[in-house]
Amino acid sequence: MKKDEYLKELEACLSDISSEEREDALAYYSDYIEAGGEENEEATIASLGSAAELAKTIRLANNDTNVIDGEFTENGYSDSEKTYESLQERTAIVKNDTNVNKNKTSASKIILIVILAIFALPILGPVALGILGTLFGLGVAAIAVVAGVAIVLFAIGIAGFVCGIVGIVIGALSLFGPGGVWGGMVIIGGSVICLAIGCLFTCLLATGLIKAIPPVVRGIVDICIKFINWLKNLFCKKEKEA
Amino acid sequence: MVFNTGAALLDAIVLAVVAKESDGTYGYKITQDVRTVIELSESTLYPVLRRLQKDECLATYDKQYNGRNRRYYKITERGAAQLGLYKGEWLNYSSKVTGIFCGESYEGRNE
Repeated sequence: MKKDEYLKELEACLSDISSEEREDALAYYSDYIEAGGEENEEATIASLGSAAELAKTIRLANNDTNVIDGEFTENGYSDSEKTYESLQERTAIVKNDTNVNKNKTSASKIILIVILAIFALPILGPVALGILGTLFGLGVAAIAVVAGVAIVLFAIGIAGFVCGIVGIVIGALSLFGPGGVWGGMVIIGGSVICLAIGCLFTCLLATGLIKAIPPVVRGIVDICIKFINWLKNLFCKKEKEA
Repeated sequence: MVFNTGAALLDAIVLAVVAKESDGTYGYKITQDVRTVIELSESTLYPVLRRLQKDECLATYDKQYNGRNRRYYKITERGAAQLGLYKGEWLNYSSKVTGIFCGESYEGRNE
């Protein structure tokens, strides 16, 4: 394809950008093809790719066109692994381009979020409060159940210890009492069993606490993080819709 | 190349290539020079140059060549400062990576 022909086609592909940007790009590529040498004109044009492709690349320089932003970003990111080599430089530019865009629009995005939040407050406020209340209630209930089990274990443990020790003393005394040696032995035996049960429940409580506390703390932290992420996603979605 | 060239590195390479020519240089030459270092399609550099120009890191002027005007690029003071920053960052980064690849960690493993 000849240079003039190619540039005409390119101009047509760039009809959606400002005339200043268009002129600048056309001048650049006209220079570029010339600098490649008259004898290499066709080869240089071929190396630039089709006019439509080139137009896409040129639009990357134009931060104000949002159309390319979404389309090309997704392309660049999602395809970058598969067609890594060929898209590598394009991805590099796309990434930078979107960064610039983000910087430019972050202020307006924040304003949008604030406005959205204000409008959504009457509807979302009570709903959010209800959900938060329910979650809080469930959390308290769960903690109460766990605490209840722990207290029962603790109580049985203590009771076992006390019964066991008191029983052993009484049994020891009753060895010499009216019940005789056998009665005393029975009491001592029973008391030892009590003591064993006390030990068992205390051990259960201790291992339970040691094993349960780290995962519970981690779980609570996890839930908090997930909740925050979920909120973030919610806001991002709203932004897109807006 | 196996490693992706990020936007900042591409900017830095372009600035360095332009800075080498005290009389300024033109798009085609910049592209060919950059292509000696990293893989890059012929068309890619325009957005980069345009952006650097908008950021006032590069200045353009027209110069006669074979009876035609050709646009030349020259590095600005701001561009030179930016390039200095990139160079420092790169030296720091690349020496750390090299250190990991063949320096301290390698010796550490042999011991």
